[in-house]
Amino acid sequence: MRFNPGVKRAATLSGLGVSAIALVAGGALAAPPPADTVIGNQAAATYTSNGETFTVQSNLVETVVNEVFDVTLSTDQTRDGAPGSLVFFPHTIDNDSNTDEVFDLASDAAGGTDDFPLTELEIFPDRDQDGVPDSLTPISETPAILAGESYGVVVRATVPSTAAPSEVTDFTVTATSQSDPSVTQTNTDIVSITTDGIIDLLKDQSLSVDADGDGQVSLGDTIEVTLTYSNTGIGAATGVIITDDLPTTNKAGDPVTLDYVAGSGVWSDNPGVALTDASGNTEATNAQGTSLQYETTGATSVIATLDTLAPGRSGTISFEYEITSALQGTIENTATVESDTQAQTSSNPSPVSVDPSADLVMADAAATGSTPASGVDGANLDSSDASASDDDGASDDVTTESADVFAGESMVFDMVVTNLGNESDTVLLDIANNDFPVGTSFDFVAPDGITPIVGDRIELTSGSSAHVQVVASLPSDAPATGAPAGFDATVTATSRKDSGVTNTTGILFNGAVVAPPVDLVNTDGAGTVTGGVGNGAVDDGGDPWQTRTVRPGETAVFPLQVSVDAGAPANTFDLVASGDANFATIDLPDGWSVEFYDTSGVKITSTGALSPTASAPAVFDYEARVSVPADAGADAVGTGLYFRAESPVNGASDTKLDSVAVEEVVDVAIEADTVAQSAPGGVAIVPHTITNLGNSTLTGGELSVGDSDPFSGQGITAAAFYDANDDGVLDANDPLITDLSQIVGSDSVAGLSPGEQARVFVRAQVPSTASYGIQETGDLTLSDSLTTENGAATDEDTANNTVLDTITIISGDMVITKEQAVDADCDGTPEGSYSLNALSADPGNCIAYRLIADNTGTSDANDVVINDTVPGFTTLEHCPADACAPALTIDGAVGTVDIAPADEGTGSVASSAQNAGFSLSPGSRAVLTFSVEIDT
Amino acid sequence: MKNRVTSIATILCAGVFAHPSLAEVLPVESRMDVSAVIKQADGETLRPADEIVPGAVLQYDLDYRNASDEAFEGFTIVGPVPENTEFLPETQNADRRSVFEAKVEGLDWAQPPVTRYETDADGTLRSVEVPASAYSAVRWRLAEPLAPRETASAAYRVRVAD
Repeated sequence: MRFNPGVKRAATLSGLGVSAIALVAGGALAAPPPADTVIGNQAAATYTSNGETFTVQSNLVETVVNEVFDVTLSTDQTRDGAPGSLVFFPHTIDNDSNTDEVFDLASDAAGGTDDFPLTELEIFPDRDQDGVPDSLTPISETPAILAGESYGVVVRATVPSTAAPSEVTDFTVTATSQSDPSVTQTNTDIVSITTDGIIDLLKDQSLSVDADGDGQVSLGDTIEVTLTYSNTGIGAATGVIITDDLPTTNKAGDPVTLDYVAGSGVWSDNPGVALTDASGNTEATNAQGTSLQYETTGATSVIATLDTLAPGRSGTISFEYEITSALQGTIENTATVESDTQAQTSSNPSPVSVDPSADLVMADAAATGSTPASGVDGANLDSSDASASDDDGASDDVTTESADVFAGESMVFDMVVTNLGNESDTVLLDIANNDFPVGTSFDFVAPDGITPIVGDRIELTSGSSAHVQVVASLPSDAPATGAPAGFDATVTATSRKDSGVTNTTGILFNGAVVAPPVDLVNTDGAGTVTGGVGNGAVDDGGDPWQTRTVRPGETAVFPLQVSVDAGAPANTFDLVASGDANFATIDLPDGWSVEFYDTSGVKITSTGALSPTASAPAVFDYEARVSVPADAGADAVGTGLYFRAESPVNGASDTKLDSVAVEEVVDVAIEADTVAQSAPGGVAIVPHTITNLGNSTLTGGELSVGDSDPFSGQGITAAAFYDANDDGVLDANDPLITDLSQIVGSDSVAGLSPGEQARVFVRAQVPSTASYGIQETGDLTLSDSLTTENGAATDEDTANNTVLDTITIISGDMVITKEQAVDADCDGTPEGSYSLNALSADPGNCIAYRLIADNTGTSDANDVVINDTVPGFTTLEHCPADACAPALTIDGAVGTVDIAPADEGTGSVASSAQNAGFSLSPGSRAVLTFSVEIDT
Repeated sequence: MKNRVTSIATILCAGVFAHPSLAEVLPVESRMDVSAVIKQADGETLRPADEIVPGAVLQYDLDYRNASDEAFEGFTIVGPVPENTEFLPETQNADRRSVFEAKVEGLDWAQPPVTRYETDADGTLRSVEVPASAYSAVRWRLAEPLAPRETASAAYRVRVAD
């Protein structure tokens, strides 16, 4: 017997596990497999658990293909015959093959002893094997006989009138397998001539009392035997003794018990009168003067003696017997007859086929008899083979457990199932809970207490029994119950051969359910208990015992302690945490993790052995560290977490509820400082990004332009607009914005959700009277008094709440265009072309900027300064070999970029300081390029 | 009285049990049994299938039990149809709600009746049903996850070539 150990992880199940035996069939079947072909099979199952895929193979089962042909022909016999008479020889052909078969039949008088010729020798069918041909059409082959079944024939020899007494002739009868002619058997029969009386005996059996009413012969039924005797000879027979010994084994050699029914004997010539079973008395005498003596020996032999029987006379003796025990199969019963002049001669074999009958007893002991009509086993049980666990001291169909248990502990009920049927059976097991607490699980296991009975069934041969155990595991929250708890369940055994045959037994727990002697509590880290009460109080009136508040990304620490009561047995406990109070699954919010550490800071998953003494508890201090992800939302209420210490040894456990709340982080940022240009009379539109760096939704906060530094001088006026359609361009529909409450982010919900961004434009209008070259600055500022979804709040970081825009007033005839391109590998060569479009790039990538200043006027532009700033979250990048260092061309000629940060620095990039600019003639172009690397 | 008796002893078990040590807990317990389906006068019965004849019908019984603490998602039981046998249609059975599918060489798993496309002599593409005798394996995909401690059972029959 082999159990598969193979649990493999597999990404996919593309093929099946292949062993040495090919398991995959092709298309339609062509021919029978050759003898000795092994048909092997092995099933597989796949499943996903915790995100991983597994494959498991079952055990291998094998079947051998073998067509075996075999036959038994019964039996050699010698019979007397009168000259000119017919003599009948019954034979039985047993198909001992393992498949259906047809057998050729032949009879042959040639050879052997032939004192006289037989006029005729024919074989007739006798399917019911009553010794009388079913028809007088001779046969030369049997019909198809099922494997294991038999077929009867009667061979009839016709004796010539010229045969003389004492002459003997023999003949053979042969049965041969048509599929395998080497399989053959021969009987030799002998006809012996006499002119004395010849008693022919036929035996017939029929169902007399059908105890189970199924119309078939089965256990408990009563059979009526009719023995028909007749004198087919020429002379009278004297001292005729008919004997019928009831068999004690069936055809397969298994024991059977057939019990003669006392007083059931009846003689045809004395009808209605029960024959006495005692010996030595004459029962009756018939009209021909024949007297009968009749006796039974023990309960199993019937002997009838007729003092004389005239030729041509016949009669019957009948009696009954009960089939007390017999396996499914055929019982052959041949009676015999002898007389003063006739040697003992057999009747036909008269087989009786006993049907299979299923019968099971499931109880707290093995059974020797069937369950009584009450349905409760007791007197039919054998207490010498009783339950190994029963505490109620009696074999009474209830297996009782009285030892106290903890909540969470398991108890074992050992019971016995007996197959009282007359053939092998498979017993299907089932259990119905009546009173055990909700959540109790039940498993069937083998008597070793461990090995599961997968499929809940066991095979039993007829008459055998087996112990089966039920392991009942109480849930860890089973309430404490005083003894006797009175929990019960019903176990049912059902026969697979006959699903109507079932038997039940009860299991009963009469001990007490006590709280496990283990406590899990909060401490203050120094051993003093601060929360969680002993056993059972999982929470504090529905609330967590302790709540700790942390910021996102931080870890909440709960010092905990497990203690085992003084006097309790040593134990060890696994440490677990879950959001699910029942721990059916380990359920934590996304991104959360819980780990346990001992007092030395070593990560642990169990307490190790804890051994209290008789007077002092065993105590184990540890801490649970709950890590909250950096993107955890504000949660003042807190997420409940159940901590549990659970013994893998006996299920004792204690559970308690704590909670972790997440602080609200309020921080909104605006970026970045920007330098822009505008001609007098023109407009500078400067985009800025507002980002919610906190963990709650911002719903309000004042946004103002020029709050601390208005664009003064030059008459520039500015206002802020919200890029409502998020297209990066100030459209007609983008509204004026003065408060965060006006923002509906990309998630279409009002306010700015954690992590969400919104674009705002500062639109600065430059009057036409403004002077060239002047720079004006103005700020865009978010108030630090904000409103979140949870109410009023203060921005915890006001350093990022303001940006400063610088507007440079440039010549109206100058047009400046700023383009950008992504240079992902920072080699100085952008992958794409420069454009005005928004780009996306990753940290570590570079962006190349190209500022193009064109003199679209008709006169020289003097003191031209092109300036820009390294954007926020980037640094200036020179690229290898300065390939992208700031560069300037003026009308094609190489110029210098006088103002720039160092490589990897931030700050202004300008062709020169103010008042030190270059000249650009009409139609000419200056291009300033520089690159920045996005911060990682 | 010549008898020809041939018996080949190779029997392997039907129905096996695990003997894991206490320390080792396998997440899945499985069991496969094979029985011979014997027709009787009034029905049929299952007998041990150690040695069978061509044309015999075998029944395979499969049982699986989740012995872990986690539910098994997408639990699928696969029963191969061994060489020298063919699947008997409508003999499949499972005790949990599941999708029953069959595998034919060259096609994907599909619910019976399995069809394939064939081209006629004149080039027309027709959908043709593939007989159950061509199945190389069958499977049951459970509709719900198999919870801890739960069992899933399936059975099917094949006929040995004759």
